[in-house]
Amino acid sequence: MKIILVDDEKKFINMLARRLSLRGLKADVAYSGEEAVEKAAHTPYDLAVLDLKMPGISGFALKQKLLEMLPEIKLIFVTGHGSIDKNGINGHSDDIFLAKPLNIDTLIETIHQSIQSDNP
Amino acid sequence: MNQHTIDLVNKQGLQFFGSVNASISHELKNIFAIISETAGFLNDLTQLSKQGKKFELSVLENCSSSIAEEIERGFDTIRQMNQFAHSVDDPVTETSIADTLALAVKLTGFLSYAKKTQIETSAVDITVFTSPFLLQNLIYRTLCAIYKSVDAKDTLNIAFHEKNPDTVFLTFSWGSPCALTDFPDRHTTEVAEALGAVISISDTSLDLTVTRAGDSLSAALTDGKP
Repeated sequence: MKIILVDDEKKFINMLARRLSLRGLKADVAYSGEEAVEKAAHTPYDLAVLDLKMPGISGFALKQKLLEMLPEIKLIFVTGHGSIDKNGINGHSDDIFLAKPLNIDTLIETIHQSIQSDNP
Repeated sequence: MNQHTIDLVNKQGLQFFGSVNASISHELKNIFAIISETAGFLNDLTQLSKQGKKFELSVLENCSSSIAEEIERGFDTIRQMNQFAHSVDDPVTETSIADTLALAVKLTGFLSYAKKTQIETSAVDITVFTSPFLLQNLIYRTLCAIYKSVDAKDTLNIAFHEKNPDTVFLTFSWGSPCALTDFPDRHTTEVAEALGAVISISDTSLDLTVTRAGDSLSAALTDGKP
């Protein structure tokens, strides 16, 4: 499974990648939407974990770009937005949102569920 | 206090307060997220160590430094939140231009679309007798409008000087020519009018002229009572 984590908070995303790696999930990191698009041009990612609010390309704009490049890619949004206090699906869309600070077990469970939803 | 000023402070002030608090809480969540992941990583290392796995001590040092840095970032954020909260203590008072600019730059710095910004530090500070909260609001709105419009790689420079004994001149300038989108909007114009401030815009700069002694503002905010 090819995963990319995208967030402008470098320390957060690097630490998350290390923790996922310890649990057997290798993940690339990108510190901006632009960098994520560049990496997605060379690697067919199965899943992207995206921060919503980033300088330059926002999480939602990045979603559109990634779906154009990789129509099968699964997306999980990570946000520090105040109105999303609980993990899960936001009432306004089908997108999956996870609230910061993250629970690593919830993230891994959500990653597996997202991938399996395509392969029932 | 006249009705128009009450409406301005209540409606726009509350909206402004909410907007700033939302960006501060977002910043704090990011800080907690880093601390949380680092603490989680330390716990992962502890479990691995119990299984006999070895790791470099420098990994622990890096983790503790990272946590200390984020705690300092959090304290800094809370200091700014506190400073902003106290801007409503006095309806009108002697207000430092340098401090108001510095706080506005820090508060807007939490926004995802903020750009690199430099305040000219060689200038001698100037005080104006005004509403610190409304002045903060006006400068914050100005910075947001500029950040939304200028090129992502552009740097915003801010300078200020005493134009004459009655007015202060604040200049916001950027490199690549661009038009500010929908600015000043109605709310900004209302705040500027209440402060007796004048906004003039070119494609590479924005000038804000602020009255030093806001007598009319003072009268509006205090009903003319001393």
